Amino acid sequence: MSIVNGNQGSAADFPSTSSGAADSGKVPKLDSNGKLPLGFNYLHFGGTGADGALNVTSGTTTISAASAAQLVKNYTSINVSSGATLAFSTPAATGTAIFLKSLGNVTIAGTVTVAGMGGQGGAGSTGGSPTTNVGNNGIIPSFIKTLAGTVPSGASGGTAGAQTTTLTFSQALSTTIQEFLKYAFLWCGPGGSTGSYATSGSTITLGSGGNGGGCLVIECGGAYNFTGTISAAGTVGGNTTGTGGSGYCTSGAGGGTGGLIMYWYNVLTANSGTYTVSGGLGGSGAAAGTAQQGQNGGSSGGNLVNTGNSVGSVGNGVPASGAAGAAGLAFGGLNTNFT
Amino acid sequence: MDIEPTPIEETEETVMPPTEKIFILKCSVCGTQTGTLALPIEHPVDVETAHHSELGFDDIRCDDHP
Repeated sequence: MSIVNGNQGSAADFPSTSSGAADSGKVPKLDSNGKLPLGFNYLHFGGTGADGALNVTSGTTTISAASAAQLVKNYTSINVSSGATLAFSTPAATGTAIFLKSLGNVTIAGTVTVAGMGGQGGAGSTGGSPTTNVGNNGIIPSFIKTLAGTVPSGASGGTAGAQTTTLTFSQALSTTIQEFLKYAFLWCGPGGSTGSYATSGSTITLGSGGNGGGCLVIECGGAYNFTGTISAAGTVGGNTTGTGGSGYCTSGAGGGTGGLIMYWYNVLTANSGTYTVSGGLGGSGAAAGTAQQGQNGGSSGGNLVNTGNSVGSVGNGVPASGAAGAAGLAFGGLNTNFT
Repeated sequence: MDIEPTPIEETEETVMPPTEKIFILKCSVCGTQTGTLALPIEHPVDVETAHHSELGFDDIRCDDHP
C-alpha cells in the first residue's frame, strides 16, 4: 500500500529498495549511515540489485528486450556456468542497448550473447519480383548512429554503410536517457541489406540481411571472473535462391555488422574468456542455367571502428555472395569513472 | 566472600526474516531446473506461481531441448 493522508503508515510503506511501480507512493527508508540506499540510485555503478541474483547453471535462458531501445537488468550477482547460455531476444528494429549490472560478482564460464541484437537486416521476400530491402541503421540511446548499406540494383552493387554518424542532440534526447547520461558513445551494428536479381522470375527468394550485433555493457560492482564467451556478433546474411528471368543470376544478402561489448569491474579475478564481435558472412546467390549477367551482393553497414563492406562487380554467369559485416569492438577494464 | 554464579537467562532464539525468495528457472518444455533467480523479498512477483515471462524471460530451455 502507499501512504495516504489521514491513514496510519506501516513498515511496508518505507522500503529500503525500489521494486518499481509496485512501490509507487511509498517513502525511501534511509540506511544506517543516514543515506539513501543504493537501491534507489539507478545510476549507481553496478545498479540497484532490484532484479535479484541470477544463476544460470545449464541450458539457455533468454531474456526479452521487448522491442525496447534499452534494457537494464539490475542484479545482485550474475553467474553463468560452463555450458550454460544467457541470451537475449526481441530487439528494437534499430537495435537494443543491454546493460547487465551487478552489485556483486559477475562469473561467466559459459556464454552470454547479444549476437544479432543490433539493427535488424533487410527483410527478405519471395515471389516473381521480390522486394529488396535495406537493413536498419543502428540507433540506441547514444549520440552515435551506425549506418546500414544499400541494396544492390541490377548489376550495380549496394553501397557499403559509412563508418558512423551522430544523432542531433534533440534526437539523442528523444531516446531514453537514463543510461545515456553515463555512456554517451554506445552503438550497435546495423543490419545487412538483401541481395538482388536482374529480372523477375517465379522462383526467386531473397534471403534477409543479417542482423547487426547488439550493444552490451557489463557493470560489475564486485569481482569479474570471465573465462567463457561473450558475443556481440552480427548474424549471417540469407541466401538467395532461384534464378531471375532469362537465366539471370541472383545475389545473396549482406551480413550483419559486429556490435559493441563494454565491461567494467571493481575487482578483477579473471578476464581470459573470448569476446566475439565479428560481422556475419554474406549469403550466397544462385547461378543461372546459362552464362548470363552476374548480380552484385547485398552490402553491410559500418560502425564506430569500421566502414561497411560491399561486393565488387562479378563476371557474367557468376552468382555473387553478399558482403560480410564489418567487425565490432570489445573493450573495458577496471572501473575508475563511476561510483 | 562467596560469589554466586550469575544465572543464565534463557532467551528466545532470534529468527531473522528472509531477505530473498527463489524463483526456479525451468525448461519450458520439460520443467528441468536450469538455474535460479533469487529475488529481494520485497519483489512483487509470487515466485511459487509466476510464469517466467513475468520476470522478463522470453524462454528457458534445458540442454535436451535447445
